[in-house]
Amino acid sequence: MPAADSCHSRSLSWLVKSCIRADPARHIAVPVPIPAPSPALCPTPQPPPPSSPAPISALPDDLLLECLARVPRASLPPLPAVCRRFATLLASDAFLHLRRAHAQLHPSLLALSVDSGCIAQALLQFDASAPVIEVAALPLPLTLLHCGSSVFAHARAVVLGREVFLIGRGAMVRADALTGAARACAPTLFPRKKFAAAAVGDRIYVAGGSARTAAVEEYDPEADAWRVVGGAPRRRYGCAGAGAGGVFYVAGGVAMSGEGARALEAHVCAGSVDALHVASGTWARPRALPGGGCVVGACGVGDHLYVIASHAVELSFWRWCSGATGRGGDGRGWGGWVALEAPPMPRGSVGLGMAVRVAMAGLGSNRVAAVVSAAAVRGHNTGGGALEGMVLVYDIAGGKWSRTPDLPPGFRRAACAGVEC
Amino acid sequence: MAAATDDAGDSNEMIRVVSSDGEHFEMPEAAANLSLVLRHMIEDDCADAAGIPLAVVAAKPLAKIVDYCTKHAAKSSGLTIEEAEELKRFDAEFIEVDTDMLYDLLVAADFMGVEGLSKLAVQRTADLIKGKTPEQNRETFGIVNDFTPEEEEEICKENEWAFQITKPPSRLC
Repeated sequence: MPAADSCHSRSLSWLVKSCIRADPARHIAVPVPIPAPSPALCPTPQPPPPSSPAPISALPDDLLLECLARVPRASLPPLPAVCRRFATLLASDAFLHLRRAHAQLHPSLLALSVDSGCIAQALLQFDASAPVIEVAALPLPLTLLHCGSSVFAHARAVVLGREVFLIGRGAMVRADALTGAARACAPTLFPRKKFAAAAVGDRIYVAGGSARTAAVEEYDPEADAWRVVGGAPRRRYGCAGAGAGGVFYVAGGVAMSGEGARALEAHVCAGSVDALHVASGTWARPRALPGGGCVVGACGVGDHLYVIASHAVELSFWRWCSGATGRGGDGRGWGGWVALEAPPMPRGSVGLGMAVRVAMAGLGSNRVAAVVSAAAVRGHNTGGGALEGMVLVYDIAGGKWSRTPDLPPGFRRAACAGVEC
Repeated sequence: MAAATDDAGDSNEMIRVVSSDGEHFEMPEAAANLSLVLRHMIEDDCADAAGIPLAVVAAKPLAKIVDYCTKHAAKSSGLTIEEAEELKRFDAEFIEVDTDMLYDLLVAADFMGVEGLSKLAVQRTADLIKGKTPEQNRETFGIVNDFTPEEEEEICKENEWAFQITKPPSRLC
C-alpha cells in the first residue's frame, strides 16, 4: 500500500531529522475536522527528505477522484496502468458521475469497424460549436486475433453504461469508451449475422440473424454469460434492434423460415416490428409501418422507438409511441406511428438501383444519429449518388435533421452506438 | 443551527487563525468568509483574539491560503474585465507550486472549504496528470507501481493502444 509506505518513511524522517520547516499536515492522510493531537504534541514536525516522493498518492479517494475527473479524455487511456488505486478509481461509477457533474461527458457517436487485427474507432463529438471527429485504432484483444474479417463484418455495437460491446459472429469485445481498455468476452450462444441487438435495462438482447434458431438471447455483463430468454415470433435476417422503455424491438429484415410463403413473409417482415416486453417476457406486434416502407434502421431514445424506412425512391422517419394503455391484451394496436421529417438525402442517393445502409443510434436523450451509406446495386448504372458514412443528426425537440461531418473512409460498415464520452 | 449574523458587508474586522504548528495569521473577515469552516466559526462567534485553531493546516500552506483569500475577497463582486483578468493571472501564478505544496493546498483547501482554491488546485493536479505515460505519472507524483508483473502485463494488453498512439490524431478536448 503506497499510503502506508509513505507514512512510514515520513514518520521515520520526523524521528531522525530535527527542524527545517513545519509541515504536520503530512502526517494525516485523511483530513478530518477533528483536531489531531499529534501536531500539537510535536510543534516542529519535519518535511520528508528532498528525494522522497510527493504525497499525491496519500490524497483521500474523493480528492484524487476530483483530480482524475478533470483530466481530459485523451489523457485517460494510460492512467489505469499507473497503479492499482488509479485503476480502481477510474473504473468506479463515482468517476463517471463526477465527470458528468463537471460537464466532461458529452453524448457522442461511436463507430467501430474491425479490420486486420484492429478495432478502428471514429468518435463524433458534439460538445464544441462544430462537431469534431476523432479516429483511433485499438488492437483486437490477443484472444481474438485469429478472427477472420468476417467475424465482425456485420457486428452490432451496444452500449451499457460506459462500455461498448461489439457483438460479432461468434465473438464479442467489450471496450471502455473512456479509457479504451478492450477485452474479449463471451460470444452469443448462436452465431448470428445481420441481427438485432440492443440494451434494455442493464442487459443486452439479441435476436434474428440465424436460420437455425428463433432464440432471443440475453447477456449479463456481470456474469459475462449469455442465456436464451425466449423465442422470437419471426426469424428475421438483416433486422435492426432497439431498446426503449423496457422493450426490445426487432424491426425489419426478411424472414428466414420460408416454407412456401417466402416472398410474402419477407414483405411482412420488412415493414413490421416485433416487441419483447423484457420484464414480462411477452411479445407484442406494433402496427406495421404505414406506407409500406421497409425498416432499414432503428434505435431507441428515452421511451420511444425511432425507425428509418426505405420506400425505394425515398426514406421516411418515424417514431413509435407506445400508447398510454400500455400493451394491449392481444398485443396489437397499442400506441401509434408518428411521421417525422424525412432524413435529407442528397439527390440521386436514394432511388431505383441504389442500396441504402443505415445504422442508427440515440445520442443522449434528445438526438438521433443516422449513419447512411448508399451504393449502386451491382448491375445498375445510376450515374453517381453514392454516399459513404454520411452522418445525419435529428434534434428531437426541434424536429430537424442536420448533416455533420461524414465518417472517415473505411467506416461504411461500421457498427454505431451512442456513448457518453 | 446558529442563525446567520448578517454583517458580512462590514468586514473591517481582522480574523486571526492559528496553524497546526502554532503560527498566527491575520486576514480581513471578508477573506475568512471565503472559507466555509471559518465562516461558520465566525457566525458561531468562535473567532476570538486567540485565533481560530486549524489543527490540520500547517503554516506554509496556511500562509498561501490567507494570501489567496485576501486577494480574492478584495475583489469579490462587480469585477471589471481587467480585474477579472488580473485575478486570473494571480491564480495562475499562485498555483505554480511543487507537488508537495500542491498536495498541502488540496488537503487544506478541502478541509477549510475554500471552493475557489479547491478547484484551482484540483485543476492544476489534473493538468499535471494530463498527457503523461504511466511511468511519467509515477515519477511526477511519487506513486509506487503496485501491480504484479502479471497484472501489469494484463493491463498493458487491455490498454495496448493507449501506449501506441503517441499523439492524438485530431483536436481533442
